[in-house]
Amino acid sequence: MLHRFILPIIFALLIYGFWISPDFKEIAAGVSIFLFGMLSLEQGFRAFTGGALEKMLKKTTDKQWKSLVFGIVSTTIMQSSSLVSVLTISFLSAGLIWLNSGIGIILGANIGTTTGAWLVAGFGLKVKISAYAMPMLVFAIILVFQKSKNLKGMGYVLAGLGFLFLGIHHMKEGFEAFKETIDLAAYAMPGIGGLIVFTLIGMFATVVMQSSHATLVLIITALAAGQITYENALALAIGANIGTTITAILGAMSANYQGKRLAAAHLIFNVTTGAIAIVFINQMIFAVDVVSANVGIADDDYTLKLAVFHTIFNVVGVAVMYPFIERLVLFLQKLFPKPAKKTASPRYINDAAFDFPETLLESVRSETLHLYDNAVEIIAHGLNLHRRTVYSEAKLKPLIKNQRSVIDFNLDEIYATKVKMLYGAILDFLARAQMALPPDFSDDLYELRGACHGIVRSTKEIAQFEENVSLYMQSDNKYIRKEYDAMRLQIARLLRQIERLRDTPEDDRDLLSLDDFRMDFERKNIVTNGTMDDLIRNNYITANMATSLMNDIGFLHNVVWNLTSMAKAVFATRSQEDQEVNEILALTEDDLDEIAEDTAT
Amino acid sequence: MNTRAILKALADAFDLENTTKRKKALKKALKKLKAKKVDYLERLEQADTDDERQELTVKLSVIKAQRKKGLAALGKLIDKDTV
Repeated sequence: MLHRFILPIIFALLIYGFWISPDFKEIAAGVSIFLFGMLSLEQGFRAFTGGALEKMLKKTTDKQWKSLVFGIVSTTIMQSSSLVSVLTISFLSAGLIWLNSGIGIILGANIGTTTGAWLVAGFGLKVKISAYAMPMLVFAIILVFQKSKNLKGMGYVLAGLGFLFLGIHHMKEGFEAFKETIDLAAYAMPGIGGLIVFTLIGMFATVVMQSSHATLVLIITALAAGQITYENALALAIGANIGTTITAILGAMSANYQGKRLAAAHLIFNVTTGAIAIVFINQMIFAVDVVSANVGIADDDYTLKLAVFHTIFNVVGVAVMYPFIERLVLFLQKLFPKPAKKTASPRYINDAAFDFPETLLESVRSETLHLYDNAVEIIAHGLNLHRRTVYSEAKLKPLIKNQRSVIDFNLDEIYATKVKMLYGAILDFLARAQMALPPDFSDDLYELRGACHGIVRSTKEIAQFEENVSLYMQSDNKYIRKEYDAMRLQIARLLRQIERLRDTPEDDRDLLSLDDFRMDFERKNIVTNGTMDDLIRNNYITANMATSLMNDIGFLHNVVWNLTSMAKAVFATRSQEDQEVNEILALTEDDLDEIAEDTAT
Repeated sequence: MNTRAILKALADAFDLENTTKRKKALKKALKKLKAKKVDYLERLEQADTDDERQELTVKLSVIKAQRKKGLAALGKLIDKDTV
């Protein structure tokens, strides 16, 4: 009930926000573009799974220290720890690296980011990454349209980076108004209170500006202008270090559980490091003085001393956290458990039935129907129909005609979780059952195994058919639309008939009626009955359409044959004689061809 | 009487090949098909649309072919009995 209202409420709030504040609009757009960039990055990295990037990443992150070095080097080059953490989340979500390696990279990135403080303090240099966004997007889109999987993947990665930069840019622009209102001098205060308040300000400023670099510039400017004390500046740097994790947290919002684990690791690490720095602030200041004196930094050069402090407290943080990575991983695995996939497990087959052949056979029969029920979800959706529609009493022809919108469903996921898993379990059971059963039952068992195989094959064939049916059922070309509707109708009728057979008492089941479906398919086969030639000759359909039709007729032919065979095996009567009679009377493919020819003439 | 003939006589006596049961099952199936045929023929007479007529014609041709196969099998079983 509540779920139904959440989305409209969010939309209403957003619209109100856009209306009253252009800055809010810019920030919201920035967040959206950023998240879209994350999705694009992930998709891009997925293209390289098993490829060169995976090998390179695996090689450079296979040991903890290597991950650390990787983080330091990549952040030094990119000059953005946020970007490196977001990229690492994408690597992790795409399954390119392990969580341990990811945490290593994040720790390294925290050291790498201190080079930015040196650059800002020493040279006032700041790499403006948003300037690269536009050209990146242009190159990215060109690459995305390439046929090569690698080029396409590179395109998505580049587009992802472009959108990330653009998103950060818009967020910064939107927060400009807030930046104007931050007057650090107003909060200058000594002692522990000042330390905590300025840490919080540093955090807030970084969250607002989406860049610890920007906060550092602000700190250095305020420090140089004497607006804040040296201690306050250090506290701001600590806060900036914590605030910078917001980018990773934002990135993890669209990532999977692994990405969330890494974002949490980043937050835990930076908060712990910050806490250590606050608690041992006097020792840190002493260490900064010692190091500064040794490297020749003037005693009053607070900007460079700030850079030294930034480096020291991050290195200390890494040194403290590094030995606890394994424990941190275990904690995060508990905090963000791998979501359990809704997989279908066997309902009827059970090893206890091995001693009772009749029961065993019945359990396999029921399990085959269970597999079929799961497969029907794919088959019906593959026809762009809902199961309840197929199984309803309504006339199928008008239903199919009116159902033209594409049903959104993840065929691969349903196949992997509901069909493949169950099929595997049935096969495993059958292999063991065959050893336990008396030879008299092996034929029946063999038939049921074939039925299961037929069900799985049918889902595969429908998967091939689904792409074209989604395309052509919405086509402006009425001829191709009609042909695809006819095919949808044939399979839908068969599904309905199988369901009726299931509901019919065993003795009344007319399994021979299943031959009607085979016959109907043969008779309406437009490749053999000459309709296809007419359609092509009269230019009613294009060559591409004809090719799709021919392929799909082949796929559906197999579906009809597989499903009818499945129904014959599963609904077969228990009487041996009746089974034999059904076998005698059932029509072969040759019989059907012969009748098709007769009825055509 | 040779061995094969003796074995056949024994098999027939005990109906080892279930011929009688098979014949019975086949006759029952043929009867069902016949009833279906009659039903479809009646529906064909009352059919309003071409689509319906065509569909019933195909179903009838399927039944015809199934009956043909069934009658041939039944014939063989009866021949076996009379030999």
